[in-house]
Amino acid sequence: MVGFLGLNGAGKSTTMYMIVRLVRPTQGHIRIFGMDVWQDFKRAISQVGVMVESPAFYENLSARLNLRLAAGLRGKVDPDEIEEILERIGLAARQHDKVQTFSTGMKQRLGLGRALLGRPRLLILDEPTNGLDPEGTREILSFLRTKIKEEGLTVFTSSHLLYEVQEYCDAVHIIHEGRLAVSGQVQEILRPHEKVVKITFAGPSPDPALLARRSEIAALKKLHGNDYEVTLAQHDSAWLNQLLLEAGYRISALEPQRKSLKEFFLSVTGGRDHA
Amino acid sequence: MLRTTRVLVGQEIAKAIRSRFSYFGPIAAVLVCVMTFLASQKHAGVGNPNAWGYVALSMQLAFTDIGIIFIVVFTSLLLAEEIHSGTVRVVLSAPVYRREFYLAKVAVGLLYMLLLFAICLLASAGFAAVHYDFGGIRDVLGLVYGWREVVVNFLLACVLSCISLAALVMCGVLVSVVVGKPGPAVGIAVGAVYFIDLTKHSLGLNSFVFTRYIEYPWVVFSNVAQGVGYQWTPEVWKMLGLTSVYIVVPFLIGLFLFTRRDLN
Repeated sequence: MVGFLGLNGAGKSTTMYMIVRLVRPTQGHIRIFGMDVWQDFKRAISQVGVMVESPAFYENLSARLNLRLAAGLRGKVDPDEIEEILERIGLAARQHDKVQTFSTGMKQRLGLGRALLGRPRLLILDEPTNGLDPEGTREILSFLRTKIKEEGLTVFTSSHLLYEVQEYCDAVHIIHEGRLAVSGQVQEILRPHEKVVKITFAGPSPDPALLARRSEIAALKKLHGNDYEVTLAQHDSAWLNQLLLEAGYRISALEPQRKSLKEFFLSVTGGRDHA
Repeated sequence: MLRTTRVLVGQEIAKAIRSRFSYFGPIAAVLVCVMTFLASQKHAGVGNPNAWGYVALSMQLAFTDIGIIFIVVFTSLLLAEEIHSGTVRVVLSAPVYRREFYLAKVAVGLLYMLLLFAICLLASAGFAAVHYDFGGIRDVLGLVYGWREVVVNFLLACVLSCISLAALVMCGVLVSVVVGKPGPAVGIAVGAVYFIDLTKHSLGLNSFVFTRYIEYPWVVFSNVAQGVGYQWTPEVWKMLGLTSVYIVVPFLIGLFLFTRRDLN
């Protein structure tokens, strides 16, 4: 699962629209599984399931008929597949109800179900958990993880919920001011930052002024109780550990600090957190 | 391409069947036929009434206002509703070319027009058969036009009327693409029909406006039904030329705009 992040207006949705030919790019090429979407559209797009922004439906038609119409556009879709999808998205009991009676969350789930029709290899989702409660969000994302594992599905998703992306995505792309600013594996991007260390002293803590005098220590911040955050100018957490032990201090925890995706995103985009 | 377009047309019909608005037009058309029938009953003793005359009058009245309005409203909603609600993005992010979707919409517009026309025709013919005769046209001196000649002229009037209405369908679809919002699209399309109708004489545009040809075939056919002299040519050539332009040009402009339009 790949997360696609950017500030409001950065171009996330437009990029997704360009991938599926809803918006004409001014330059460049877009290829899906090696096929150019402008030259080999049908073959390329037949392997893609799409849910863009708030999913739109024929509101006066039932959920089931909406899925049947979408399946009709994809050619051969096994009728059992519609049943299975309705079951998996939790709408089997409401399948004959008109979509106009559905809540936002139900429409979101139905949109996701529609995108999964025809067993696509790539799923493009724009804010897939919009309007879902935390339980619904967890269910949908777990469902997607299962699909990824079982069917080798690739999911390309934008979301403004950065903790979701951090938890569920394997890789992330951050778009900023019209350009791809960061691209990589989430674990790699958020790997522990060796220069910032959180220390919890078991006994008395050292005099901050004493530590701050060391040229290897760039900053020292008292957090709460016996917790301190030390920013190292040189060396790493092992050196700090050694230094404090040799000075006779008892340490109950020493933890190199890991940035959250939100902090990382803010550092890339300059402080605004409206992904 | 044909397979996809056929699937899309089937889906459009399925959607139209489930929309209440689709039924208003045929109901209104039948009501006009009933009213025409009741009005013609009052004047049954005047002249030499026959079924053909009633059908011509009924079709003329049905497609002077009511029929046109329903066709314009239906067609101007076709793409505008999809663009505005976002369902167009659902369709076009499936393996469907824009031209296929556009063709399907045009086909459904034409089918709706033909359905309205057929219902009106059947209702008129049904009412006419109650009281009048569908035979040849006679006057006090005997047979003026034989049954075969009347039927040929009747079929010609039907075809010509449908050609004019097809131009109306294309214009409606064009407005739908250009405006892209259902309410404004309907307002602009209906407003344009009335505005053109009201101003075409004062602005000297009458010869360039195809809508005058919508009732023209029925006016000529009325002459046949009344047993007076009638003449299709040369006016019919002008009609075919003008309506062809109004069919082809809006169709192509609409297609061009729809295939180029960004749908974000």
